[in-house]
Amino acid sequence: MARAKFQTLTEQMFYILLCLRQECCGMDIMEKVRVMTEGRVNIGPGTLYNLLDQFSQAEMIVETKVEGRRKSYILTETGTEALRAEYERICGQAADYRRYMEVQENEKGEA
Amino acid sequence: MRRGKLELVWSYYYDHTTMERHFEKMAGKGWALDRMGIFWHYHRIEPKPLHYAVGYFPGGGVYAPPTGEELTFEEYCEMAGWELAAEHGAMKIFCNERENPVPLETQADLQVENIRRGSRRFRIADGVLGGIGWLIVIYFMLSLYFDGVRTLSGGTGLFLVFIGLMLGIYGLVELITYQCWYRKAKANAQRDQSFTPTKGYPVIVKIILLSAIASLIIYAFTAIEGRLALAVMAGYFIVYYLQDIIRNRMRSKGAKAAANVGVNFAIAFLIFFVIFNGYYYFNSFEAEGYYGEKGFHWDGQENPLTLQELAGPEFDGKGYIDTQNIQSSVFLSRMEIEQFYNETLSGAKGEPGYYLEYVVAKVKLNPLYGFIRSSMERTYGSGENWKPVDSWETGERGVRQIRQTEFDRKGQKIYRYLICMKDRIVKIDLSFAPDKVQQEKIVETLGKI
Repeated sequence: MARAKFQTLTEQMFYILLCLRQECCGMDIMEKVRVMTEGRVNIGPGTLYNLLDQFSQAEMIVETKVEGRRKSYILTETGTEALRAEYERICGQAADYRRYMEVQENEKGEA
Repeated sequence: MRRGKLELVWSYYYDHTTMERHFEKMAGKGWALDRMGIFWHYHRIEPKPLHYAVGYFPGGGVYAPPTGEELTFEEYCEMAGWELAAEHGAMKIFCNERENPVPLETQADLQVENIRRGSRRFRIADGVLGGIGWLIVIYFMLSLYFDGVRTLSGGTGLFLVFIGLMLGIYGLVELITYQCWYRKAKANAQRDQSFTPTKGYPVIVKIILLSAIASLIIYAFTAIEGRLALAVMAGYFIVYYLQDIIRNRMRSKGAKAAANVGVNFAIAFLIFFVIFNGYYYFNSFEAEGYYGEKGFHWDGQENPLTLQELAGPEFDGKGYIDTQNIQSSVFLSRMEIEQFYNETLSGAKGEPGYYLEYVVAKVKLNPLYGFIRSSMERTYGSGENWKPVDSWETGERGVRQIRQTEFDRKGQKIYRYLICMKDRIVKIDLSFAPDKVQQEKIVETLGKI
């Protein structure tokens, strides 16, 4: 089944939105994400351009200033909510993982 | 040492994987892509490993200057080391010298959607051309059934049907390969964001291109009209070569779309004006050579067989119209001549006048003889209407068989004969039953031209 748009976020979406908690120029996002994730996540320029466009259309980010072709953006309420929901989903997954592993460990210990 | 190189584009518009691999291979051989249209244009570089990525920017224009969004997209790419090498419509081809560059696209579903939207216009155009190609092929098959001789003797028609078939196959292969890729790529992207390389079967495209060029060359050497087609095709390549350069240059300098289209149209008009005028200037009509090239040999001053020759001195020719149609292909040559009375032209009314019409089909490829004979029997009368005739005076002309039928033309009885000779089949309609002298004249004249 197709993923409902922005119901869950891909890694790239998540980090772009995270960068835009502070006003940031689109072009700087690629480098910022690379540094933030210590090179684990890279965002291709084509993907970045398309995601910024889609986030703008979904009103998850808003353009703050334009200097030549350098456009800066920041998260909106909708974007913040989407980012928070994704964070909670990831935390939920992590909690499930920890709980399950603890049960497994305990069962091993009892045996 | 050559500084530039041209290659006819042999991959489908959506098939970015094939293009990327090819450009990387070319860079390894010392050729870097610098523009594209119907050709890929390269310039000489030091052989080195370069990375290429084909991106699609839906809405990107061919003639219109780049929009602010397009330039922003290109700047993002530049930040990641991707320099724009060439572009055509929505397609943008980037080159990167870095050792392990970040790919242009890092999210599969976005890439799939961009390719779908970016290549849609070209896929529709190819689909329409392919559809037209298949319609030409269907029309050819029907024509082959109803008038096989006319269909197989038309060099231009055969060339067009071959090109139609090639276009049809090209469009169909693109439709199938694209749909297969799209479904698979979309499913993979939705499942785990994995990328699916495109596979457009370039070998098929190359075979199609080479076959089309080979058919054009054969057509040019076997039919007079083929030379014009060859000249037009050469002009087409020159126009596109120049347009690839001028269009891209004007576009990058921000010239308006209308100005860009206007300049390119003017160049195309000028080149084709020169080609057409040059062609007709250097190819003046010479009757004997013309008929000879079409496969028939006589002086060409008058029609080879006329009512004057058959009806004798009582026939004055006043009020008669002659029509002539001669065509030739690698399979056979066909001559159709008609001579009929026209009341308006003569001014006299009431008399139906004489009537003569004949078709000579000269078979160049012997295995086709049987097909041509049955085709003419079908075209000029249903099978059971033909009656064998053995009373004709044929002399030593190698006549194998003569069959006869009759029909009515504007209230006048017409005698129709089908004469099968060694290398040709003649169909002749006469408004009178020919006597021995006329029979011999018909067989002798139409059997030797």
